[in-house]
Amino acid sequence: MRTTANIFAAVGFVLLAEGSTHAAAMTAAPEPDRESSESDDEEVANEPTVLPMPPDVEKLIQYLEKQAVQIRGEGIQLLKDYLRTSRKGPETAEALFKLAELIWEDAQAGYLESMGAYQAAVELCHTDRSACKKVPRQRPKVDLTPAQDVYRQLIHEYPRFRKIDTVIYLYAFSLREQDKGDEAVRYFYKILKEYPASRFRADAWMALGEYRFYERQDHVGALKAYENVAKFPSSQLHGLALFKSAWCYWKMGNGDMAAQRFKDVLDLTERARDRGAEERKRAAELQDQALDYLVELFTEDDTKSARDAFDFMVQIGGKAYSTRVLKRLAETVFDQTRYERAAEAYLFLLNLDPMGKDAPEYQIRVVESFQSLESHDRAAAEMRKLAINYGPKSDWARANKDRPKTVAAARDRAAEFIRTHAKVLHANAQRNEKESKTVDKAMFAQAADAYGFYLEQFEGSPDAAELTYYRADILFFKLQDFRKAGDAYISVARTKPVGKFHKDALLQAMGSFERLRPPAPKSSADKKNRKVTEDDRKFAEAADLYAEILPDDKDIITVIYKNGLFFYDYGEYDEAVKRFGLILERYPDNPLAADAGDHILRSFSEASDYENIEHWARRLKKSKAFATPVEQARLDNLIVGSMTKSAEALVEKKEFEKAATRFHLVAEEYPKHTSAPVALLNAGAAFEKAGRPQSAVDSYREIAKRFPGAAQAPAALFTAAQLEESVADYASAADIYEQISHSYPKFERSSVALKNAGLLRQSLGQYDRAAAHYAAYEKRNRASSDARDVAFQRGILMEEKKDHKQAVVVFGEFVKNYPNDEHAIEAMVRQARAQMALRSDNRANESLEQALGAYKKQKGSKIAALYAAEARYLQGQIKFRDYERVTVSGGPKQLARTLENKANLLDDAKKIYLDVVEFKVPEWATAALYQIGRGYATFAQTIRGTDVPKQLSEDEQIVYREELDKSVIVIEDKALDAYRMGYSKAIEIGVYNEYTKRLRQALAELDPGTFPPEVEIRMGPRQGEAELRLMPIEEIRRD
Amino acid sequence: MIDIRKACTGLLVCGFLGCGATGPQQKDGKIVAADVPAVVPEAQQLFEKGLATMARGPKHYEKAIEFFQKAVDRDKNLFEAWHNLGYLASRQGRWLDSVEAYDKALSIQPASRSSLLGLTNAYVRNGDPESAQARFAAWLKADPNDDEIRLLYASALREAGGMDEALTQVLGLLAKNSNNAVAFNALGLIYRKQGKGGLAETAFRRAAELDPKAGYVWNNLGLLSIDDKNDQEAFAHFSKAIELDPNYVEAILNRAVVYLDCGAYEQALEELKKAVALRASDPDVHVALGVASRGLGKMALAVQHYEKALELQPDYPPALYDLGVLYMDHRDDKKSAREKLLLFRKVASSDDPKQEDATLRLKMLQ
Repeated sequence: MRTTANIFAAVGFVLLAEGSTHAAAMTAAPEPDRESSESDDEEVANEPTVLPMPPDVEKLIQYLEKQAVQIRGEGIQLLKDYLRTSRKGPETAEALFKLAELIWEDAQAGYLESMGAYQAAVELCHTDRSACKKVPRQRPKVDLTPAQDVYRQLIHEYPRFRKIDTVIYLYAFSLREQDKGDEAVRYFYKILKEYPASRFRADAWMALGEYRFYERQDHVGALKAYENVAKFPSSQLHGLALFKSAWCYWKMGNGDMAAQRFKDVLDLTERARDRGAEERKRAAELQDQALDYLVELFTEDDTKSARDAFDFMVQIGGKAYSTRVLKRLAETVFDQTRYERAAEAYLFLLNLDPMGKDAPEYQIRVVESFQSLESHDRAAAEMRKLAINYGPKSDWARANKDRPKTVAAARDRAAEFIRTHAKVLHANAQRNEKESKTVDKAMFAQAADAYGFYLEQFEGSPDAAELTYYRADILFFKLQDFRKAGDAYISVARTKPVGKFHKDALLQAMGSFERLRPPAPKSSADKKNRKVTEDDRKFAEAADLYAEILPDDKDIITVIYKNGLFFYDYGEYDEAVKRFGLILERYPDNPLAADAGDHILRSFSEASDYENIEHWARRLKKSKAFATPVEQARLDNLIVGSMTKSAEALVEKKEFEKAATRFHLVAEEYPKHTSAPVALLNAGAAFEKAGRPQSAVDSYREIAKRFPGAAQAPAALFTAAQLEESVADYASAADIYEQISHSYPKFERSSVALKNAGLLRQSLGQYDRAAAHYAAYEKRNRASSDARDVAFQRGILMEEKKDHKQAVVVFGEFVKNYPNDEHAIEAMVRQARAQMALRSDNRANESLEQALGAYKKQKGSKIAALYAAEARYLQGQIKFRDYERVTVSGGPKQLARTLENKANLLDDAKKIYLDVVEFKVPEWATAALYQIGRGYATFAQTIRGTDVPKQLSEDEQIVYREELDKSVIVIEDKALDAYRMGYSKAIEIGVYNEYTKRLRQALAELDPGTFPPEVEIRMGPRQGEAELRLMPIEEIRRD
Repeated sequence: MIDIRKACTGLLVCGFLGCGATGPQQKDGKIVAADVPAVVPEAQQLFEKGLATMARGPKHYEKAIEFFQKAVDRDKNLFEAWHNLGYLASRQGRWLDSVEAYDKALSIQPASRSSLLGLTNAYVRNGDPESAQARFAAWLKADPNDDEIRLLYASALREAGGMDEALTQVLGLLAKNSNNAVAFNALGLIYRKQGKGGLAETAFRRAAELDPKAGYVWNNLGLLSIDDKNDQEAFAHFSKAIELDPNYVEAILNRAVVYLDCGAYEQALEELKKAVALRASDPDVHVALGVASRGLGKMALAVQHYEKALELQPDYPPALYDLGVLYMDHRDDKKSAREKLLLFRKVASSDDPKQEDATLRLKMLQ
């Protein structure tokens, strides 16, 4: 198929020859490509200067064109009206011819308009792939049908019209345009056959040649036709015919002839060098046409590659023209949106001359071609080459170093291209998202990559911040690659000068890195274990950068605050405090200052850095943000709390002295604070641990003194009392216990204090006070089990005080109140002791009977047995007293009665003492046996001391005395037996008490031979003290 | 025996004036040793021979004393040898000799703490707690934080009758450390001596709480029981003390005293045998053995024990009296009896309760 380009070319020839206005417009002579190696200066001199049309001229032209269309329309209408209204005549053919010409021009104008729109669509397609859909599938065609109808009318109605050959030619031309080749050929033949002088013969032969060449592949026939054209050397088709004939030879396999013919065509310009200007121009045009035609040949055949074209040129000896051919070929296929071939052609061109001046442009076309083919990887690779292979330090730049402007321009061109490309990709992705309502991540990734590549290659470019920001946005919003986005945003912020993107970039950077952070640890332990990651550091870096480059920004405080929070979250309290502190110092009036202050305190709290909490709380007290009474009170609480905590930390470190001092400071500085008593309490405890009991006591007592109503006061006093006891200051301890009992009667240990006071007063020998305390205790605690112990203790106190009357009363009350207490028998016995001390033997005996009766009921208990034995022993003692009270005097009869009475009483006592043994309590058994012996011994002494009645004669007195002595010996023997038995028993069972000693002494008196009295000096009991280890010195040292 | 006169001319004078009572030197709050000249080599050799001999046991003490004495003869500044002479004298119950030797050691090296302990112990045992007090006071001036010395100082004050000051010292220690069982025990002893049995018991009980294994505290509780004439309870406390520390001699002796008071001589003898094995250098133990032996009718054995006591302390009054009585009442050896009783009257203090009886007996022996 022939293309319209060929037709125009042919028409062009025709109309140029005709000199027609509209035909001239169709012959756009191409600008000659120039193989050039000139320097930049020469470039400037030789490069065609396309000056912009002055606006006024441009307007005028547009106006005139509009006028021409209008006038042409009016002319057509005028001619039509004329033909319709006029009768046919010789002028009719002229009018028809003119009408056809105007209609033809009008079709041409329409075509040009359509073609302009088509070209614009193609242009747009090159830059915007999405616009390629709007490019018409077929190029516009000129609609010659209306003109053709008029020509047909002329041919049929006016065969003798003076320009009938022209009419036939144009009619044939229009038929061929309508792909009616066979019919068109018939009319071309008609010219050759019927009009031998027609100036269209060469054109007709050319048309026939083309028909045969393309429609019939009749290369021989075509050659003949072209050869006929060549017979018209003045025809503008002459060169073309030569060229086409060469082509026919080529097709016919006659390479030599083909090569010679091609060479002839291409050398036309060279051969015309010495000829006139007109001829040189014509030669040049012909050469261009030949080359165009050659390009056309190669573009029409998809099997022919650029290399084929090159090889062909080499083969025909036209290598010198190969670049021009290939360049045109590339441009043509590129314009035809045949990008695969375009890419191949440009790559071939680049391969032919990689260091050529136009290489960057070729590379751009390569990239565009692959982009158009949606071969993104390849496009990206080629774009990379564009940036790298034609950069300032590339081989290409070195090869073109004498063209600095070219190199710079190439660089700018590449930058612009890549930048534009990236932006287009970005815009496409955005548009796609808008239209499809979905994010095509691949599209955005391409855009991001393109931006990245641009930024990588054109570092420091003025728009780096902007493009980096765009890229970062894509990474953040579309690809959710927050790490890369954060890095990109930060790199935006690092560019200088600070511009419109910096602030948002830093905010976005923080947002990016914040998203990468795992959830903030909650516990202190987790915070300690949490390591600050690279993302964390970058977050902080962004925030710090913000504060650095945007110090006056209204959002700076928020940023610093966020940064502080960030460090706080991860337990980096030092860093957190720096930021929060900055807010407080620089922006004390900002609403965030209060929160910042809180976080400072919390930071130190998390780090258990109480000294700093205190320090900051004191500072914050002076801050406006904390000026309200509520905040002041809160800070006071914090100061107290932190002082307390720091003191507690000192306790932990066993620095008790310091801790105590610190606790004390709290109470001194905040005497009205609710923690003051607690602080004093803690101070006391710390002093205790510091080994300063007196200071501890002072602290505890201070609580009661300064804060008598404090809940801690009684407990503190109690501790103080215990402490005083612990350091053996019993009097002071008693004082404090009394204070507790008196001032804090409702304190849970008030009664214990009272009891302790009693015990201590008793130990101190202050019996009255002790007794009063015990009595008060009993009164307060009558229902408690402890009360009976105290009641009993009060009885013992009376014993110690030797207040027997009171002892009788107290023990009597005890027995009455607690008859079943385990100490009841003991109380009865003690009561009896007191009664005996008061010489109330009868009452004593009653008490003892009561004790024994109780024992009979209880039994079992060793303690009960002990006191029961004593009770029986005391009954013996009462009987023994009766015995002792009987005085021996009077006459013999009275004496006999008295002695008998005494003997009976002794016997009664003895029976009771023997009863004591039955209780099997060794101590009292020993005592009882001793008393039996003692009874006999005293009875013997009594008898021995009895006066002999004076009324007896001397002999009688002797007899009387002898009888008494006999009885005394018997009685003393009984005493001795009792002592011996008692003593041996005591030693046997290991009783070493007062009665054992007495037994031994009694034996020494009655039987000094067997039991010699001890008169020696010997050691008494020895005190026990920690053994002093005395050691010898075993080494001589003279250091 | 130490030749005191030869060893230290004027030592007795020095003792009266309290040589070394100025205490050690101190620097930066610490006691510093005095510079002592380098030891004479020959003296060092003799010192080492003395050590080796002493290590062979009490039977070799006399020989050891000879070596140490020769050592100080060669090098009068060899305070280590003086110290050991003091130590050996105390082991033999020769308290005066011990005082003199330790005093000499301290006059050369006032910073020798072990010599101070030896000296003050010897003072107290020799019935001179006042001198011990002076020594302790001087030491405490140089080192107020030496709590052990302060406790010994309080003990010396107590024995000398300075109850208030003793109490101040002990309470001062308790104020520093209320968990000091030894101080509570010392407090109890002061209260006991003041006749404040209730407070004494409270203090002893606290000491027993703080140091449940302290036998000496239970021994002292036994003393309180004796004071209350509750020998049975005292016996139990002494037994508890011995249970806690089977080698605690004071408690063993005190239990023997209870036995002797009750005439349980066999039991007393058994206890005293244990005591003498642990502390053969104590003349009191030998006297008690003599009493127990006499109680059991073993007169010859009793004489041996009394003589042993006199060997340890030649002018020991109880041994002289008891031996005199034995010779008089059980041996009918008037001469020996007279000799011992005369000596007793001479060496015993004038207020000794047995002075009157000794006088009476001597009249009877005429």
